[in-house]
Amino acid sequence: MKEEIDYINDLKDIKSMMNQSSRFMSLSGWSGIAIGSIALVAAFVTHFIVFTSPLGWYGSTAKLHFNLALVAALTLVISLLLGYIFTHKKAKKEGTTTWNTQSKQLISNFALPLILGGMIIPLFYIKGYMLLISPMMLVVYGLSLINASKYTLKELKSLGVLEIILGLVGIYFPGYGLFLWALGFGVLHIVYGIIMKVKYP
Amino acid sequence: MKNLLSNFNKAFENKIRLGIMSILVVNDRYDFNSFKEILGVTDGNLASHLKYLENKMYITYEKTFESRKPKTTYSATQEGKIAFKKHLKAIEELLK
Repeated sequence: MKEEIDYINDLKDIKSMMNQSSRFMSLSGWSGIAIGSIALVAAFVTHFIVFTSPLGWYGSTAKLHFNLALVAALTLVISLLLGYIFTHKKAKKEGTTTWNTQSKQLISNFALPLILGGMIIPLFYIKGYMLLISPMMLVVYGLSLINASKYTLKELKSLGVLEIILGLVGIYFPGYGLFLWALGFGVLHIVYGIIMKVKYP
Repeated sequence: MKNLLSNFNKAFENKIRLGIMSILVVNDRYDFNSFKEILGVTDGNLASHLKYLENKMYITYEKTFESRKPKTTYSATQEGKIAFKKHLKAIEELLK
């Protein structure tokens, strides 16, 4: 005959199995902190590039555009790399891997809205809606986070909501695009990274 | 008390079977090797518990091939989901 304590343990097991089997729990707080820091650096560099060019944004030349695209691409690659390294380390420490059923689910649910929705960025560039580019990055990224949050740490949902709000504010106040971008991709990532580190050590 | 106990399902008294069902109520499908990895059990042990649940009609399976390797994927039946929920409720009642 089972005791009450056995059933309490059963409930714990059930919960942990449900989480472990459907969510990728090894996302590292350091990944968030690293990505946020890179974003802040990128925002400063972008600010520097734009405002040292002769007429600021309005003096926009092919060279300026090329430099900005270069910064964006570098930021993306370095962020993905650092994000992966820290999470890989944490997964290894926990005795799991970064390539299993849960992580595949997470990646596909995150990447699909991000890549498809992200198409809006080159389209806006081609059509010349420059001021909408950085706020739309926040909105698309936020939606992707919300979609991914079912398959990993649930805190990603509130992060996604905050990113979208910043993006919407950016669309309403176009002059603050870069500032809000730095807030969303930089500060928020660092804050959430620290929260993750404390909550899931 | 007696009435309460009748709602407990013997099929889920075992830790591994409990684990299998917990996984299958939140995942539409789950394959043999992933079960093995997450539950930390041997092939034979896992197979016998899966068979038990299969015989009870709580789960079904599907055999497919992935890059020429056979892959068995399991899912919970409607019946299995209902039975599992009932079992959970019984535990919750007991602990109240």
